Amino acid sequence: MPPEHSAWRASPRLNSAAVVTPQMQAFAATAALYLGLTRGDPALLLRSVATPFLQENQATLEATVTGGTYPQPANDFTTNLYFASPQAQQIFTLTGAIGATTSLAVSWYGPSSPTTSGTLYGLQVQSDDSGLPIAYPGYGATDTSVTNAVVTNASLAFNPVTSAVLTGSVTVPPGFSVVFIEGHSSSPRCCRWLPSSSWTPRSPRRFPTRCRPSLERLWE
Amino acid sequence: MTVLAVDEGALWVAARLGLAADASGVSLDCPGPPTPLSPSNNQTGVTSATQFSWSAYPEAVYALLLGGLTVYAASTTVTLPDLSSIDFQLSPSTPYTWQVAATSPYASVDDFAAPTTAATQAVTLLCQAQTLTQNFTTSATP
Repeated sequence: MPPEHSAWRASPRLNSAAVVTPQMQAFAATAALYLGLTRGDPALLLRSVATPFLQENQATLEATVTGGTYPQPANDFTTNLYFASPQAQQIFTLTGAIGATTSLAVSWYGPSSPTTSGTLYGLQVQSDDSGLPIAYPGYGATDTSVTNAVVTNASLAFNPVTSAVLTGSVTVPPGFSVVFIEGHSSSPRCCRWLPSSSWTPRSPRRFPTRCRPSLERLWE
Repeated sequence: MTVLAVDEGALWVAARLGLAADASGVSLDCPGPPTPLSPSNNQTGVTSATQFSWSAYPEAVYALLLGGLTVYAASTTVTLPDLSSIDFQLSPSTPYTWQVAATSPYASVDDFAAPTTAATQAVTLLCQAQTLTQNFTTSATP
């Protein structure tokens, strides 16, 4: 079978029956049509394959963490940093021995946004030999703006992480197996949900869950 | 809270946002994926007039995934628009794959394309379910 896109070609066009998203102008093998779309302020989905054709901005974020466990030990510790803004969403997973200051390359697309304002989140995780979290030495967040080709300093104060227990159930359709369960909280802290029972469910099955802090709050 | 489940190539996602960390009785229970109806799997002789159809999913907007083309629609049937003017057309005697992803709750494509805010998602159970991959081959003159 040929590549899926081999039989399609595209160029930009718009008509009243179907809205064709802008990536057609940049990426000849991808198009999206919204049948019946009438609103004037749509949020159209842009496939990432189109991004190589767009202008990229790149900034350096020098993040300095206070609190937590730093210098970070070489084993069993991970620092997760996440920069989120309307234009940029980027995760940095830092393992091994690192100091309290880290240089992050933040990139985003679009010529109209040389500066993007967002929030830098951080969570340090201590894991056991199997890789499961056993402690969260610190969590913090700070608002910051980054500008294309500019180095910006950001201070991130890590504070102790609280935990809570969240209970509920998940019923999956027959034949399906759960890959993961993740949570996000409306509170400033965030949660990862792990089934406290087996990870190899029968279907349908209900999963009691336990809340642990993590970065999934950032999905909101 | 987000749950991802798979059944071979079929996907199922249920998400409920805005939960308190100590919430109780949280339930995530979304329907399984739509059933592809037409063209039948491995059908040959498909043309641009062939109607794609699938079973209904409650309060859903559908994404027909066909090669590099994604068609969002509120209907369970889609006939590909005439895209020849933009040089988008099925190639003759060519195998293709297609899937349908249903996302709910959305009342219309306009609703689906509305700018998302945390407030609009806060109390909603979001469901997404994608069918197994289906195959077809176009006719010599699609």
